[in-house]
Amino acid sequence: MLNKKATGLDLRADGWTLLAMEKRGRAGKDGLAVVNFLQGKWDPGTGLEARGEILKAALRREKFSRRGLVVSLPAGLGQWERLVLPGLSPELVKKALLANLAAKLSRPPEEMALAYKKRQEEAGASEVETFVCPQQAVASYRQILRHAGLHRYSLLPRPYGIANYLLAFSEHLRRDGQQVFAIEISSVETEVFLLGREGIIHHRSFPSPLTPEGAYNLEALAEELKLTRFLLRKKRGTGERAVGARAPQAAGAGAGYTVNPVFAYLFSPFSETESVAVLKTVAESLGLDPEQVAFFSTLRPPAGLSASEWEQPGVLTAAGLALESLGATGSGMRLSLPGEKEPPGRREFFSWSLLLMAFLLGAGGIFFHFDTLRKERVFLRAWLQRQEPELVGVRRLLAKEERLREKFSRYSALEKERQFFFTFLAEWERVVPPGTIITSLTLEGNRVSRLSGQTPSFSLFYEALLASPFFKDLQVMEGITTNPEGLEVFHLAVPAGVGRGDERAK
Amino acid sequence: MNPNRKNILLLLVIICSLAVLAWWFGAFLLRSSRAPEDLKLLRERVSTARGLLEQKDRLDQEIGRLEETVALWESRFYRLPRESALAELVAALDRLAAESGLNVREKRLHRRLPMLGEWEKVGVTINGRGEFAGVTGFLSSLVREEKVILVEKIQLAADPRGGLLSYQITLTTLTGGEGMD
Repeated sequence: MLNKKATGLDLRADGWTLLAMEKRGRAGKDGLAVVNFLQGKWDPGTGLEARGEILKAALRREKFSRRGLVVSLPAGLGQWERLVLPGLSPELVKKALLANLAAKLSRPPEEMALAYKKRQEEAGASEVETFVCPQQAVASYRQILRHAGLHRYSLLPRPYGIANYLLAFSEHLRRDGQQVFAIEISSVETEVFLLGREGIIHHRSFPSPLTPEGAYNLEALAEELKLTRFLLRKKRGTGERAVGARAPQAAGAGAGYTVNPVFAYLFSPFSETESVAVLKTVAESLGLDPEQVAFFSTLRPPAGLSASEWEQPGVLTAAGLALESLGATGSGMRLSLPGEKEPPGRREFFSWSLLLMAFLLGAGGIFFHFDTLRKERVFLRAWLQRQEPELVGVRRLLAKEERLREKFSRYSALEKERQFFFTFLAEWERVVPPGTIITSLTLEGNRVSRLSGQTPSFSLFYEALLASPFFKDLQVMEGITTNPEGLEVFHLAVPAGVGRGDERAK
Repeated sequence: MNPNRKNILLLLVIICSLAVLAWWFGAFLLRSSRAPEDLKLLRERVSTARGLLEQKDRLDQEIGRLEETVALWESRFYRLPRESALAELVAALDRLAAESGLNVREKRLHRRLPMLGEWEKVGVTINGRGEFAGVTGFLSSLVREEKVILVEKIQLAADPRGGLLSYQITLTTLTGGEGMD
């Protein structure tokens, strides 16, 4: 069986992480292994073209597979929402989403890029998870990728990279109804989201709070986390009411779900001592015990990565991005831009493959058919050429046989003519009545041409004569007279132009 | 992609596949009718040639048999110049007539009669009077003669005054081969 490969590219403000992963056979997540890994940093002032060139060089140097490339898009660029919509056809869902979000969007809907997935469908209503961001914001990322020589890729909102990995490897997400918080802190942005088996239930992204001295402000983080808990409680209430009322336009995180965070995963770029403080703050703010909070690095790394590599920023995200193409936990939240062709689905891919196969089969069929005819033509011509001398010989034999047969039939006819007088006598003896006398007879070749004689009864004689095919052509030429002896005198002859008697007799 | 378009595409693919399969397997079933004209002619030529080659043994046997029979016949033709053959014929007829007791009154020679294949034909017409037994004896002795003597025409007429027949018989023979002029 062929191994499936995919590459995740995590683009952040401070750097990038490239990770190529391979799925071996049907072993599930145990068959996942990192086959290539590379990361780097860039200054915030590095231009788009320069960033693209850096990536291009990295891709070329490490020979990364570009197949199934999934690129992260920072969540801070856009807006995450979870909406309940009426049951709509797929074409209408997109329009309904943009119409619902229109009031909240900073730009007109046609300038927005959209990613969405229907998470839950009940009779008459479906819950849709969506991420919208301005196309302009996406454009800069696309520019980087273009400079890097990358043209075929999927854009995935960054939280879904993390979510994919957590869904695949977190023990706490094995059961329905349990959720985990994921908090990722960077120097620029802090992301908080609540993740369940049903997907991201709530998401917040805010600029990293800083103290006047420029350090990360843990107190502000604590306040933000408390606010998150408050929002979750509030939205749960709204959601429960909305679900109870079956309001199709009701929007809100956690609609229809029990909010039950059992664990929190944290990533912080700080030193170990600072990180412990962050961990304690997070646990307290989210109302969890300290042992219910752990760093991303405590999750099982995929095979092929060292412990130190695993602790690097963006590695888990990049692995999750690769899982979007490889794993069963793919979120399906790929960003689509208006007018951009969607990456082909499996069904479409299958259809095209089948069409291609049919075309190849057809083309092959036509080729083989004509090739077979051509080969047959060549073979037959060569065979005829080879047999020609023998065929000439056979044709000569045929001509010779024909000549000999002609001679044979000619000589056979001669033999009959030689015997004709005796044949005539035998037939005469057999046919004519007794007492008939021939007075004049002419035999020419093998026919009786003239016959005269006397007979006791011409009528009897002539009747007998006509019954024999031998004499059939003879006709009475003159009158029948009676001589002094009382015999009837007759004269018979073959009229001119009548065929020979024995030929008729055959 | 629009699901309807997907379905149409899939349907198109299935139709194309079926058409291709029908074409491909149909080509085997209807092979002879699908071949171009020149190939059909070529196949016919080969079929005819095979038929000819299969006849070779039969032809050899048949030709051997015919050659034997024809050679036997031709061995009974004269291989002499025309005049010599005519002289031989006349001599043979005289001999046979004498043996049959047939009185020959007149002999008319025919030097240039229509050829029979590659063989020259010469002949003699004899006439006279004789008994019926003499005529039949003469004619049956002709059949027994070593060289082929052909009876072209027989005219018999009964003489009412006596028991004899008037006869006129035209006889020919064939000559050719190495002995010809």
